[in-house]
Amino acid sequence: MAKTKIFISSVNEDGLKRLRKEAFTELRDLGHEPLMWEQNLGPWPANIDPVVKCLEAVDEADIFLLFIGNNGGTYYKDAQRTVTHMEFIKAYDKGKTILIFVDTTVKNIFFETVKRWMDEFLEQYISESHQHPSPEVILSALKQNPDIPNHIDAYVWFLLHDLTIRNVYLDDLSLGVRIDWKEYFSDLLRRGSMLLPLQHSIVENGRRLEQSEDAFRLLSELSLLMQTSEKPNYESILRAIMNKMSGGIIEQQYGQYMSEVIGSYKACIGATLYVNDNDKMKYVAKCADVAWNRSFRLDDQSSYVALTYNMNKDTVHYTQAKQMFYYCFKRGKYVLTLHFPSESDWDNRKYMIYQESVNDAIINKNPYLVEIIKMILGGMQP
Amino acid sequence: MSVYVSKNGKVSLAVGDQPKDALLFAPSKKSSAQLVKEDLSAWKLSNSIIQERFAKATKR
Repeated sequence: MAKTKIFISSVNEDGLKRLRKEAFTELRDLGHEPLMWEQNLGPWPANIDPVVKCLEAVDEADIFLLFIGNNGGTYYKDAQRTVTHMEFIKAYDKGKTILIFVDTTVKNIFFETVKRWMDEFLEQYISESHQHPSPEVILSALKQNPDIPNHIDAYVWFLLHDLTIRNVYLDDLSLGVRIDWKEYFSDLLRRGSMLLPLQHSIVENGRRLEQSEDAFRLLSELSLLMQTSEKPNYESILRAIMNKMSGGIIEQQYGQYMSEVIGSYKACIGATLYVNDNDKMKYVAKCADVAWNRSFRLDDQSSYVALTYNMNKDTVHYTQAKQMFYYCFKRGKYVLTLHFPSESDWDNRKYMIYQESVNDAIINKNPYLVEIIKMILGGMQP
Repeated sequence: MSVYVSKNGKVSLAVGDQPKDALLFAPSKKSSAQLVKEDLSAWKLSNSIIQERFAKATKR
């Protein structure tokens, strides 16, 4: 079973050494896999860049743990950040769980005086020079301010300011007081346990978002086609619709417990559009190489167009001879039919057993898309 | 749900083996409008549960 990898980050300063070591030991004894420079990460051979290795270790970790005291750490001029800060940015960028402990004295000074001063300084600088100051400018201004304690490295304020901008929670760290890691990680487990059962809902919402995006894209395409000429270019409209209709799998549902894949259908290969004219369904347009008739009588029971118009229900028709599913729907006076080839293992017997699954697969695949198409059809004047 | 067959110009309930060129169909139980309505309700409910749960899990 995979262990939780915890990257322990902090500036190498005397006040934090014991704390880091205790955290490493206790987290390891709790069954986790802590990663820390002086224990199991470095040092590396001279030709290896240690910053790159540390950032790789952050990337591999599940949790990023950072202790902040008085020192800012080694500043890299090229990056304009310290290593510790870059490690945090990597963890933030990769969406890791981030736990940050800040020395309570430092934290209090920051929130009581430094933060407000930095906010005002930045606002004034940007309004005067119309650009954001570089880290060097901010650090220099912090160092020159006599109201800000100079026994704390100016970079600590710069780092804390970045953390607050990113809305990262800062826990209190009282040097000399042991952190109860058991309690802390039990709370983390509680929080994680509350969120894990949401997986299905989040995945489902993602699926809905993709369906809505497809429908929105089709709407944009169709609205452009409708604007270009007085008479709609039916063939282009049908082609745009056809191109959005992908194939898919057909599944048999067994209640809410499970589903079984029983077959599939291919992407839409063509479409036809008919409009009602008295006792007939008159051909309007088609796209791609699909069969069509000039018209069908409304009482023609061999025509899926006439049948759909009379039933006024979304319907999937099937013929074994043509190995084809016909998804037909009516809107106003129109009937639109989309042609989906079935896979070769479908026959009449299989369709009769699984017709509900076929309807589910084709009609339910993206009802948002179908509703958009119906809206467009509803707005067209015969 | 019943399956219907259209053959020889007539629609009837499909029972037993059907010829290969028969047109088979079964109207959908729900329209796309109903499906969208139900899906939007489920989406809203799911979102509120997610938000509520995250609020509880991240409360300090």
